[in-house]
Amino acid sequence: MSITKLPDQFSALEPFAEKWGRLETASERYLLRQSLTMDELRTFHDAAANRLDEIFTYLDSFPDGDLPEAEARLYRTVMGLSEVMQAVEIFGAPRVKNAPYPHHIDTIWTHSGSE
Amino acid sequence: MRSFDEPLLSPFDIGFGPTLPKREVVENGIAQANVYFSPERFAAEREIFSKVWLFAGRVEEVAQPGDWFVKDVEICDASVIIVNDRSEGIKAFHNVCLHRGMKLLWEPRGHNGLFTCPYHAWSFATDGTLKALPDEENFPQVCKREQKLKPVSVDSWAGFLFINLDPHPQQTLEQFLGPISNKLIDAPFDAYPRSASLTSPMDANWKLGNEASGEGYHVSSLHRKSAKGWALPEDNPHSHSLGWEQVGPHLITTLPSNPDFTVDLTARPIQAFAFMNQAQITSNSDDAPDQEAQPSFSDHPDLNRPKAKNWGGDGFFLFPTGQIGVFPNGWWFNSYWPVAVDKSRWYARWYFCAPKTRRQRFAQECMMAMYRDVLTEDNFSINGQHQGLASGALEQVYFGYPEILLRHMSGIMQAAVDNRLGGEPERLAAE
Repeated sequence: MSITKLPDQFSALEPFAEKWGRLETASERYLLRQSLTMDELRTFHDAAANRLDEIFTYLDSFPDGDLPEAEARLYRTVMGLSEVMQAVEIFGAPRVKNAPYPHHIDTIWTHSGSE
Repeated sequence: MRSFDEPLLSPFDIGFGPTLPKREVVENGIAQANVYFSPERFAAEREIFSKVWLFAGRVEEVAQPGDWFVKDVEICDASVIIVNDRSEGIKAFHNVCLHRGMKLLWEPRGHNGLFTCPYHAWSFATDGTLKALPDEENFPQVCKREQKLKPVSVDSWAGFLFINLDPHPQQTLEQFLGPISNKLIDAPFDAYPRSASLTSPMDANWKLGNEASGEGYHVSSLHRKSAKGWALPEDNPHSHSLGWEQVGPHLITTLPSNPDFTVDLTARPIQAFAFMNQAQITSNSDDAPDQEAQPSFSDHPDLNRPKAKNWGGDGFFLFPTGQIGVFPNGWWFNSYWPVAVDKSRWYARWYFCAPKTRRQRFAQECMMAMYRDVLTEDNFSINGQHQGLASGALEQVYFGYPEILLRHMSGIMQAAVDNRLGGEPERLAAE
């Protein structure tokens, strides 16, 4: 099964999509963050953190609902930056101090009323 | 409204007569350490949980007929179904099949016209009636028409659902909440329909979790990196309450936020992007995106009673457990539930406005990573705290003035427990 490459203008993020682009949930992304080194996290941070406006202007140009696969993979990859933010910008470490490793916890999103 | 450093001995009544909180705890800020690990006191707390109104959820969770969710009260070994019945409205039942006690519903929530037991397929309508059982003619002792799932009292306030496990509750919900039952009736909780729930088991007495969430004194140390910047103004570094009151067994406090907080765009570009695209729930900052269309809590007359300029939010601490935190741009519910004397369950839910763009969804994801990590710092530290207390090393603990709510939370629960243990709590003489 072939992986859909990221849209051309974001090909620089392809190395990060390999790890982050498959993940669907905050729990999975949090676990991956905990397992990476600061170097790996910083490299992703440096490649993408200052492109967020460009990335989301692009992604929000698509209609609501499911994105085409290349864009969906981009979106999943970029969601990983929510965890990279915590490690690189807040703690200076991959894991929360005193938390066990690995720390499993689910974030369950729901939307009441019509989505 | 009290200022932060004025404890007040004020009576409460949870259905067993007016009682004063334990004086030594409220006035001197000294509590006996064994309240966190005494099995006898825990047994008394179990009795209390079985007889008072407990927060269960929100009406939006059962908006349509057939919607249901399950609320577990582990300390009482109870599992309760809350369901919207087309004719009778919101009802609650023990999640227990009438046949041989099997757990009826195993998922946390769902939508059904009929509840069917996985064991022998006995089925029940959403009003609790037994509708069908296989091989019915061979159950001569069972008359369908007379059989209903065991009811649990359920009632609501401001869209919050409460249950009471006592078959004959000592108080109505209105009596239990007292003046709080008139507050926040039209507050825009439902304007924040997208929520993130988290739960995890704790190796600690439940009161330690509630106490952590009842004071901001730990923010500058424990959350030095994760929250101090946006939570603590320079002129209030220990997060003293801007004004609080005790309402029966419940407490309300008004909290500060830091108006000078700005995110360093160079050092924290992701966090800056998140804050600029989704108002942080607790923020009052001018940097917050325009959410004009979003009804706000900021001007609600029941909130920010001290009329603090930099209103961070109000916390409604409901006896026996659970805090409703109401903020400028959203709200959350945080709670620690007893399971055993040295085990509890943390459950929290953060409520956001409906995201309009993927950009905003990403920003909300960032917020939740941030909030989750703050609570992670609390929760594993609390496990270590329990270990320290359970060792018996300390005879007593201290609650200072920045922990004014804890003096009252602890003093109130201790007096309620002392009542059940048949002690001699200080009672109010007849007025």
